[in-house]
Amino acid sequence: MKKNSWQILRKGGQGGLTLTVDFTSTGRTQACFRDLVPLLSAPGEIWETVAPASGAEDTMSGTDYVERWAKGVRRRERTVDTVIGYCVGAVFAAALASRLAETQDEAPRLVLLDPELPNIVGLYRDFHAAADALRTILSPAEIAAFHADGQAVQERYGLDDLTLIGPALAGIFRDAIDVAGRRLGLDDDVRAELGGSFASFVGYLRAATEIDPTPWWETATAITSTHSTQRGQLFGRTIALDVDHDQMLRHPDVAGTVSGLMTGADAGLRMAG
Amino acid sequence: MWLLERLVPDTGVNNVAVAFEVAGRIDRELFTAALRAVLARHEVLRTVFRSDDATLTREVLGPDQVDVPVRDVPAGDAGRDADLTAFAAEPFPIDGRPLVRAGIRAGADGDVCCVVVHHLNFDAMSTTILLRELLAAYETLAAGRRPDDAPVAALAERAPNERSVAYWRKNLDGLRAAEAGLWCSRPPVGAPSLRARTVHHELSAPARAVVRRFQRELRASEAVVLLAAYSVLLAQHGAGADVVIGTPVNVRDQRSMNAIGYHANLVPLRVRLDAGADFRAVVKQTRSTFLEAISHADVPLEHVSPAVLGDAPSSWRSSFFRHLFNYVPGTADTSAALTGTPVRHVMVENGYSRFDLEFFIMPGEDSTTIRAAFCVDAFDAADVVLLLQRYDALLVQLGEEVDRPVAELSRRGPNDLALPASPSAPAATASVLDAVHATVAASPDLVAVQDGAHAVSYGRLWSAALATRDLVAASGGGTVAVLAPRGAQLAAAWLGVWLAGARCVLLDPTQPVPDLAARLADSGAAPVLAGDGLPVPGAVPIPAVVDGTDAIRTDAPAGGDLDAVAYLEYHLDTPAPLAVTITHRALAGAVARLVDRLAASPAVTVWLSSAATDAALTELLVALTTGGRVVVAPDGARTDGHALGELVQRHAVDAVQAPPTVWRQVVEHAGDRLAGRALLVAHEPLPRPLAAQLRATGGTPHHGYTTPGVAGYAALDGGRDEPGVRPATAVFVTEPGTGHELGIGVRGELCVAGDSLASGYHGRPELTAARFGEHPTYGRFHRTGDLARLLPDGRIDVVGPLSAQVRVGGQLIHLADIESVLAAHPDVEAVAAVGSAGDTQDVTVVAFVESRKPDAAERLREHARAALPLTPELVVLNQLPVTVAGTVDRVALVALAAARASADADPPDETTVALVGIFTEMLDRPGLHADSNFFASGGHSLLGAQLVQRVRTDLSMPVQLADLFSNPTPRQLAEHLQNAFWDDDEDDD
Repeated sequence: MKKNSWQILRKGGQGGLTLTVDFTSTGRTQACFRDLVPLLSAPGEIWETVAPASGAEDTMSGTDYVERWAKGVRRRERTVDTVIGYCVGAVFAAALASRLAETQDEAPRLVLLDPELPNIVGLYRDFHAAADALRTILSPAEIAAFHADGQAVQERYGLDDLTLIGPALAGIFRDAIDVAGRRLGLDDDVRAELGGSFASFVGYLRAATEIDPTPWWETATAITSTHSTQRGQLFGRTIALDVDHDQMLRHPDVAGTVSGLMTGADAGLRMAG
Repeated sequence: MWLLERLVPDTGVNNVAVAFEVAGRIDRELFTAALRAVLARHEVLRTVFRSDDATLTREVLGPDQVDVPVRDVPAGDAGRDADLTAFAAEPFPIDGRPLVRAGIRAGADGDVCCVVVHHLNFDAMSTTILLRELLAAYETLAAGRRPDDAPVAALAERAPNERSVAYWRKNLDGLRAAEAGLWCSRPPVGAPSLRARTVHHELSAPARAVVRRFQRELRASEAVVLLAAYSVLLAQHGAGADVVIGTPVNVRDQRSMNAIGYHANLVPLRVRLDAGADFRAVVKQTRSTFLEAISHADVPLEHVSPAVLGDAPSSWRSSFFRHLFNYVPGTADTSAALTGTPVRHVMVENGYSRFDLEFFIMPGEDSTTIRAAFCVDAFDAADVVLLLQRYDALLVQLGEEVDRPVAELSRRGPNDLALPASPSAPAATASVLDAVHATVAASPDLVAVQDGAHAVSYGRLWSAALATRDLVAASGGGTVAVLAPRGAQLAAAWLGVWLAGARCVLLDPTQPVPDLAARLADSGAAPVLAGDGLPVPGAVPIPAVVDGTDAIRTDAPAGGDLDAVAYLEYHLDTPAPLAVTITHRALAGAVARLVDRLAASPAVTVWLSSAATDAALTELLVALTTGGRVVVAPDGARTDGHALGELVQRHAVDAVQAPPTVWRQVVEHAGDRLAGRALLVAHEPLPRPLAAQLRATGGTPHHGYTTPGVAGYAALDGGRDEPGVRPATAVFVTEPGTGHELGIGVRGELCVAGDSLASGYHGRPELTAARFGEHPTYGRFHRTGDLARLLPDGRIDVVGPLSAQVRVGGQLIHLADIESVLAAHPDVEAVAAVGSAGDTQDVTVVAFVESRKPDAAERLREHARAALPLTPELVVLNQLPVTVAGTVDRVALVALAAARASADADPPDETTVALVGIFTEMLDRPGLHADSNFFASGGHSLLGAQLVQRVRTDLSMPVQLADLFSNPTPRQLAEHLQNAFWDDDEDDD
């Protein structure tokens, strides 16, 4: 299935462009850049990354992910002022900003919102949490089997190798969704997309593990929440805000700080590079 | 981090535990051997699961392959139950190891043996079988014999048959998902925790005797009798006349009654309680429903819901029922003994419940115990205890009145009936005129009214009142309207009208002229007395309050009739004029009660309230009936804290009375000058932050409940930091519609009795007849139209007007509950929620919020999403509109909400409108709009997939699930679909 690499969050003409990197292809209640954009006082067009089409992620490396997005920008001959990444998106944001800098007169600013490295414990947690959506459609025995299968993956592969764990969990998820989707009368392609959403997420995480963002992070500005897991990480500048990780993309303080960074109004930003 | 849905499944939630306690030490070797014998008999207990990449394989181990060591369960400080819960909660690895574990906790009082089995292989009935067999095997082994090891075959699952599906489809036809909780449950929340707790109740001997008798007389099993009574109990508490109760049904056939395994099915039992049905009829219906359900129990509920509800997605979120009934014989077999030592069954909780309430009945030879498990989101433990008491009392009552229609049975239990009687103030025996005249006669030179620099003595005030008396008497008018600003002239006019034996119409000259005209016309007042400088056509000027010491008259009031009407007070919250009539006796009683509560005599009060309200009367009369002084405050003091503070300080005021809206505006600047004063909060609920602010001034906040049908305060309390106010007169709570009195904690209509009641509605005999009644104990009472509940200490928690309950997405919720959630947000100064168009069926709720933060709406929306079952439309205003009394003007807000709904300020485009329609249909909840977030409105990924499919078919738009994920509102999705790079095929990877 054909799929765009970017979607527009806010139109703003041909001037400076801001890119945001996040994985939104899950029905999350966590805030996303969609929520942040209306709160930003800084002007300009804003785009957000779109994950590769279902299935495509299997063969894509971390560099492929970044290149796909960079290509989407270059094709439209746009100059990027700022790249913002949230959570694991900060890994890609760093590589993307660096990639874009090669073809621009001035390197884009890099802003990291609660930057995080890919984390497998969270993946297991998300996998098991997914069963709740299925609980009303699958039988207790099927739900139990879903959990059991997930536990078996963990017993077998532990917490290390995402290339083994990811596809195993994604396969179980896909099968369960397929059964549930059939009971709900979903078309093949909708079922496939839904079933593939976990794989898409796994692909995103796996690709992120192939990128070492730390050299770029060391010169970037990071806005961290109360729940930041990267307290020891060195950033060019850290702005610690007492906000909730899940809700930070709709917090006015975050919006205010990001706006300041986007317009360069903040002197500290320039010094930090 | 992310993904799909919220709740993290608790790993122990699938474990089922069975435990028993012996009053001594268990022989561990014998117990281990007994367990081994039971495992040998039941292959299901030897069934293990193993999984590789994607498949789950099942395997039955041989008896000699199973090794279940008996572990020591440490006896911790948290106690037996906590230790067992921890032991039960340990997850089982699904790796081919047995899904059974056993342990013994050696406690000070004896040993507890506990066996935990995974739900895949176990159900509630299994616990009974396992317990019985374990004890028998232990006993046999202890006697040196060989235990029964004849294998019990696992029961094969049957496929649900079509006839059963058809049965359920028919039986559950027309049933909506369980809508409202009980009247004694907590308001609905946004994100339930599903945490559960339990309380136990042992059925009383009389109740047990009734059940036994009914088994014979009504030819029904104990389970059916108890279930029928449970359905009556639920109906009495708001479950409606179409009660649906879930019950686990054992699907074992006769041959496999002793099979352990997962052989239970939760089925919905629907009992319709017809208006005239007596308990016999209910039992009869329950019995047939129960039997039919059992014979069609081969269909799991998961199969029933789509069959009945079609593709209505509501069935995913809310099940058919919120209340469970579970009759489990054999769990409380007190006759059991192990080698002569008594054995007691111990319940091990797993700590969660998807349902509001479950009655788990454990019948025994000598006692029947009900274990009520409840979801803490739905109930407080105290309310469940009361429910159990009422259940017991209901059974006893049924024993006496089996032929009485169940709808007429008492809704109250022993604790409800033992609630201390509401205070009943002694009836007033003298009018306020007599009390004021006492000071006039004794100290005519004492200052009565302080108006700025101008002080008016009691003597001069009374002289002016007498002049008014003469004027009214000469006119022959019986109903006199008085229009004057607060001040000596108004005070004298009111007193004068009463001295003439006439009644006043309370009016405020600052009210809009059309309102005044309508009220004057409705009251039929003649003459109309107007203060100096008020251009009222046809009005007679109020006689002036003359300066100087000449011509002071102190004539005593002629003995008037205490039961004559003293004044008419018009409702401020009804568009059409509607007034109550209050007698002298009621007025005197109200004033006396307030004087008593304030404990300041003589009292100095601020005259701040609107002259259209009886609050202005009580402010004046609390001062004048105690020989005190009333200090006139200008209208400006309601918004100017400095001015009010100065007034209070300069005149050493004892008490200030105002609605919350006014307090909020003045407390900051008046604060330090309020120390030591009584601060009365009238007319509206006192928000917690304001209560704290008032306390911080050093003053004493008193929170009052007022209702138009009662003079003064019907309840008044110190500003405690908890819901509830202490009634100042007799109160009770009734079931709306039937008038049955309700018990503690059950929400119903507040009724007020006592001698401060209005005598009726002016010129509306039919309304008077409808709103006033006669109580056998309390005498005449008023139905307030307010929703309230009695608290265990006799106080009342008033929620808000009954009419302010709205049905949203199938849930009944009170606007006051929405307001209190929003008011808890720090950005909110004040909030008022209204339902659109006053329709109680599926309305849109609009919450008007007063906030100093213009960008508060989004944060509040988030706050509401997390804490409420619906997200109201939020409108941030600089200030809420208020009535002349300073209370929130809800009539204006309803109009504003209606205007907003019809305004085309930001009309959504065609696609957005179409998407709102599809969202509404898929989420099955009304009130959605262009900015409703799919995932915050109850949507989840599977529902999202269905929505995407609908959009593709209906709108022919190439939307993908990912588009919904990143654009979760109709407006965003429509915008995205229009903005998307549809021509961007080359971007394809």
